[in-house]
Amino acid sequence: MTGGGAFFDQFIEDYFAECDEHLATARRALLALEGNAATPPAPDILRELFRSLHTLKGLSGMVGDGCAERVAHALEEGLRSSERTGTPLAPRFLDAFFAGVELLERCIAARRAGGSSPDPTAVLDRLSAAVRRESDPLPPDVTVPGLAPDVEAGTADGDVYHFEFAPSTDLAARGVSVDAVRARLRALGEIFNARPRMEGQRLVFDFWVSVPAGHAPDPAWAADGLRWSRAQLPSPASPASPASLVAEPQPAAPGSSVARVELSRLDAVMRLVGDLVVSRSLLDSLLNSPGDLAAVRDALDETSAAMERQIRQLRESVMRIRLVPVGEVFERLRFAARDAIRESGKQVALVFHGQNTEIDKLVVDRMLEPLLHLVRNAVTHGIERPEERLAKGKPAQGTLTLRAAASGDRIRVDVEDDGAGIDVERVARRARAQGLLRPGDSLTADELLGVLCAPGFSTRDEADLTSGRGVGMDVVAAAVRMLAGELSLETTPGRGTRFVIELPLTLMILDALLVQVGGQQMAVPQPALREILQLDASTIVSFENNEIVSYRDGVLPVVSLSRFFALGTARPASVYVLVVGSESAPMGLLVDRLLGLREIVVHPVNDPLVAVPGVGGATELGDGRVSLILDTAALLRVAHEQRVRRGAAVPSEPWSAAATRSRAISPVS
Amino acid sequence: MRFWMRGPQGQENGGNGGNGNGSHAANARARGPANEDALRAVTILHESGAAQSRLIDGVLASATEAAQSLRASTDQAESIAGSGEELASSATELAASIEQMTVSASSLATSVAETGAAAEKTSRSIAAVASTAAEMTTVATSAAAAMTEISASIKAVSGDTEALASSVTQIASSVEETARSIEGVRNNADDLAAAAEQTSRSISAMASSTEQVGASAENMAGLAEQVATSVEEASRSVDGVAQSAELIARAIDSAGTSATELDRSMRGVAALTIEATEIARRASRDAEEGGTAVQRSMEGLGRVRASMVESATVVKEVGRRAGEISSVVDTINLIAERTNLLSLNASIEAARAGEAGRGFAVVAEEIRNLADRSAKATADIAAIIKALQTVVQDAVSATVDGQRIAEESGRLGEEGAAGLKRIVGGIEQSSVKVAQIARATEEQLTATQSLATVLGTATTQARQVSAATREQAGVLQGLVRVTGQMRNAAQQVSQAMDDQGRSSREIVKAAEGSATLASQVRRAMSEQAAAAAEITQAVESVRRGAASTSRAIAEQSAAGELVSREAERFRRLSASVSMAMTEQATAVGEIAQAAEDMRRQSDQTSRGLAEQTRAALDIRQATQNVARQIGLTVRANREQSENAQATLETLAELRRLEQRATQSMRDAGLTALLNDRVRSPDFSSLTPPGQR
Amino acid sequence: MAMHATGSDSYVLFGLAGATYALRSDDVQQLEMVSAPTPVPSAPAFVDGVVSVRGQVIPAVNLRVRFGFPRVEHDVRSRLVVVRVAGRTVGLIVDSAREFASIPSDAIKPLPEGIGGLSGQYLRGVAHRGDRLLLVIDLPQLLANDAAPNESDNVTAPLLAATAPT
Repeated sequence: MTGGGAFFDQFIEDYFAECDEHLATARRALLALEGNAATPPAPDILRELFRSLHTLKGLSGMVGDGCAERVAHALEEGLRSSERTGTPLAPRFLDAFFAGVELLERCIAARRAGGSSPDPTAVLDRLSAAVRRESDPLPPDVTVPGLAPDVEAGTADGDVYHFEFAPSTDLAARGVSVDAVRARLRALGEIFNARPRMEGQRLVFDFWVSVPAGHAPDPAWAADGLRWSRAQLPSPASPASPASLVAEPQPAAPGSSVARVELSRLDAVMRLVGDLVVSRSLLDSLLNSPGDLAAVRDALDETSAAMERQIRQLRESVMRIRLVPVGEVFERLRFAARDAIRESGKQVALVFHGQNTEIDKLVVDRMLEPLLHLVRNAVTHGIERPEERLAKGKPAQGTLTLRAAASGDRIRVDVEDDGAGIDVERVARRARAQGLLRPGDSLTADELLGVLCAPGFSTRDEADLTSGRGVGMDVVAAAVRMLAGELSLETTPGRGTRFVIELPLTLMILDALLVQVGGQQMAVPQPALREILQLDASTIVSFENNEIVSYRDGVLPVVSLSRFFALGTARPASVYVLVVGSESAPMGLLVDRLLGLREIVVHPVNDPLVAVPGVGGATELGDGRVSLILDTAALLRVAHEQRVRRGAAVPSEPWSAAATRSRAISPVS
Repeated sequence: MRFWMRGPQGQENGGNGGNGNGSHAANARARGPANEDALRAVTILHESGAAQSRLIDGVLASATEAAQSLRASTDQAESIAGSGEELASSATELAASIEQMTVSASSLATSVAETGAAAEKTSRSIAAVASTAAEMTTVATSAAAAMTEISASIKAVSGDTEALASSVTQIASSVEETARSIEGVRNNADDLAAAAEQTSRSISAMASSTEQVGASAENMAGLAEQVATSVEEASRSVDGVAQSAELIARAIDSAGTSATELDRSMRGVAALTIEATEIARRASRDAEEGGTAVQRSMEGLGRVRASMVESATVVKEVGRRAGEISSVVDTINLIAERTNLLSLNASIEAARAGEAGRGFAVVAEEIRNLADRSAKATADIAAIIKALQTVVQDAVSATVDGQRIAEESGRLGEEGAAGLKRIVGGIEQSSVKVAQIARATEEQLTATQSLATVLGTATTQARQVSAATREQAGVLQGLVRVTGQMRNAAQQVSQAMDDQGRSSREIVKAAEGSATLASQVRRAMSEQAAAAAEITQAVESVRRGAASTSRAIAEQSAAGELVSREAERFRRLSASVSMAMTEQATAVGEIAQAAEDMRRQSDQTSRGLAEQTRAALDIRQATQNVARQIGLTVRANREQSENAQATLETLAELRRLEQRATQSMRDAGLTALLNDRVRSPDFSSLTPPGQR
Repeated sequence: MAMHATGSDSYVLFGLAGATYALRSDDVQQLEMVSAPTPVPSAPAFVDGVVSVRGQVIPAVNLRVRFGFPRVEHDVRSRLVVVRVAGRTVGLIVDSAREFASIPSDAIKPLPEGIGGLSGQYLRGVAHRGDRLLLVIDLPQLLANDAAPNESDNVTAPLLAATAPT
């Protein structure tokens, strides 16, 4: 349905939402199957899996996502054949299926991001091989870059034929129905793709059949309205390397913009809307009451207060609709971690806590990649090989714990492993080698995370297969930053590492302090504030290219926001200092005036033209004007880098070899 | 179009087929070859139906959006209509206020005319006052001249009567002393006579030492000679006194004449001052009348000013209304821009909808044209308003000018009134002064009268003195004769002596007695001389008295000077009054001029207002046009909206039918397709009926 | 792509510094009046700031500055053209945008010779409409160049000079 694809563009969002669901179901089913791999697969699980794949195939076909359709079809076929045998599923088969589902996922994600579909060939090969192994005793498959999906032999054994059949009444009268044609083709070879399409006003069925050598279509079929030709696959193949069995990580999907909603939550919203309507009509009747408005002043005030309350409740209800249990993310992580675990050959158990903690859907979408990265890191670098572990007196199986907890308006997600901890010296060596640290400097606690998150930083000596191209923690740090969250790290050599991500419960609304900087209004997220000071400008001391003020028992480095943002160098006689950062490494941000606390709605600012460091979004202030939101973490980072570059003295704790708490940014708790 | 429906439990129902699939499938299978026909037809129908369905849905969505956009543009057009009506009503209000202003301007003109008349009247009365003041000035000048004359004559009198009053007193006392001393002399002379008798007897008794007696008699004769000389001298001095007394009497006479003259002059002055008072009173009355007239003209000016202020207020109101209209026009312009924007967005969406949006794109184009026309119309209106505002600005400045002039006139009038009051006050002061002068001259009269009386007395007394001294002269002549006789007698004696010698001792004794008497006479003579000296002194005193009289007269003269100065001041005052009057006349002339100006200005304003009225009518016309156009548009929009609504309903109906057809077809068609794929009974259990 | 009379597409015409440009209406999400953008520090000079459109915060590119013309104050006729290409939504500030026109594909001629600089990169060609000259914008190129901004030069002046503007 080539030309018809355009008609469905508007239903694409529906399609993606559906896909998400069915993928989740498929993953769940697969994991269950794997968990019980010793026994024959349970029919209801198989059924569930089949149903998901079948629907995914149909959906993909309807929207013209050929790649996903093919993969889904292949998976479906594979499942069918395994069902046939009724034997316990082989690990190889399960692996191939996992790969297949992952590929399916990536196809859909590619479609969503508007990028090009990944090449399915290798996975499909693997899948077919695995399926074939299940159903037919054929020689072990050799993974070979192939042009065609027949991968039994190393040579091109047989051809791929493209059949076209247009059913008609005459043909049907003669008994040449689509069923009959299909039967013929099956007898000829393997149908690995079939789909209907419209050719003008005619319905045409396409079949791609892999015909083994020595076989060919019966020419007599031409009289039956069957056309065929030798053909390439619809999508061109390209050589695949073993290293990309798991292809490169796709760019972070923007996340579905459709959410599933519990009807009860919608009902609650509707009720509140109804309340608001009532309040509004009451307001109307009050305003139209005869006589002086002053007489109904009290009633008006009451109605206004009631409406304010109802609006707040409405807003909370709508926000609740966006909440999803974090367990969904965890399940997908489990799925992804499986690969890494397999590849690494280590034994890792995944433990989840707090799956029912609900977080904003947007946060879920955005946090998937970072958490995935952390999980992969933990598996790859954190947890030791079973032999090492045993030698250290640890159980052979390592534990990777994902913990989610909500406190107040924040979510805390821990990714904790009981592995070897971070080798600080190695990191320091690498940092020096990459110029991130001056020779002779030791790596201080709060610098550790910053160094790890520096773009391009990697302690890997070779490209890490599982984690891809060796992109490091900077991706994680960036994602956390964009969600107005905070990342921190605790590590103990020999005992393990814990990454802590703190995120706002709802991304869209946060409490902010409005300030005035160089004539412009800006918003500073309140969770990032530790303290607010008011000082005379004269108490600011210039010291080695920095500006500092006396603070508690020591000094506080301060950064003038108006200078940072090039908004002017004028400074009033009395200034306000917003203390941000960690307890051990605080920093002060100089602003001209405080304008008050306010709840603001966050709009992301993503366009490259205006994505400048230090700006973490924008908000509308009610008079239609847009006000920028500060990204304090970025400010701290940039200022820190400037300090490191300039070589000024940085107040910090010295590194100690014992249990350390290295925190780059600590929350206000 | 929803292919996948969600139930509460998350079941997947797949298509719209629902639960009828199984039976249909069975039926399809049972029918055999016919199934294929049906299958094919159904499949084809389904596909085309589905295509149509999708098509219709597309159209539906576009139509919905179209309806929405139409509604939005209808709303926009309605708001334009509303603004147009607002504009019309503002224009009507503007016309009304302009009419009101015209009325005010007319009444302004009337007030101005009234003010002009009042100003003329004021001018005339002020002129009258001015002429009266001029008269007054003349009178005052002559009064001053009279005063000066008086002063001069008083000075003359002073010159003549230098030696008057106290001198007279002194003379009187000196004369008394003289009389006393002469009495003394007479007494002494009596004694002398007695002594001489004795002597003679003695002499007669004597006969012997005649030579001694003769010597003594010689001495006695010499002494008597001396006495005679002294008496002659005394007589001469008495004569002199008498002459002086004559002179004095004459002087007193002349003084009396002068005093009479003075009296006459004083009476003249008194009469003059009464006249002056009368004139002053007349002038005061005139000034009061003038003040009343000024007051009235000022009231008139006040009314003019109030009317000016009113006009200014009305004009400002007109200006404000024009400003309001201007802002309404701005709003309309903004709405036109927004309408253009909306229609452009609608066109964009219509283009996106493709074929289905064609009709809607046309509507959007129409709306855009309308908005552009509206923008142009408002630009025209804005130009009219600008012109109107200029006219209003001129009117405002004209009324402001008028107001200023009225205020100035008011101020001038007030100054005039104040001036008049000052004049009246000055006149009153002058009257007071004149009364003072009259009193002073009365006193002068009394003084001069008493002076004349005194002088009369002095004359009488001087005459008496003259008579007395003449008597004395006679007496003295007698004395002289006597002493002459005495000489003779003495000579006789002496001759006799020669003969006698024995009574010489008695003669000597007598001579001693004579000598004593002679010394007594001598003493008396020296007393006389002293008295004569005293008389001289007395004359001096008289002269001094005359001097003090002269001083008194000088004082009078000074008073006369004062009067003269007062008269001068009065003259100057009345001159300034005259000047003030002239100024008043000038000011009133200015007022009249200003009133004339105002009348002209109000004419201008009236004309301007008439223009404004016309302009307002134009505006009203224009806005009515706009309103009509907008009404047309709104109606057209509503029709379109209704059409769109009808289309929507038709489409919805079609869709419903379509869905039903599609549903049935799917039941038949797809189930058949699905059945194609069913392989074995095992798998059919995996795909229970109704499941997709 | 919207379907019109075959072979022609609909365009939104906007005016900038005396010249008329054409943008495919498919690329245009909507038009808006211009409100004061919030400046973003460290953004390129031709980015006036960010504005909020339909709840989304997008950059506002001042096309005048971008094309090298002097900046002018926006008035009631100025428009913000919100375009969407390749997942990016960007606002373009132009002097006016009041017309909607259908341009046949064959009416778009390639650029005349001798026009260098940026114009070669962001103009697809020129079209004549009656006696008007329309400069047809290649939006993906324009925004792609924006992603890595370099100095802008006044490119339409030579273009206008070469093609005798109306």
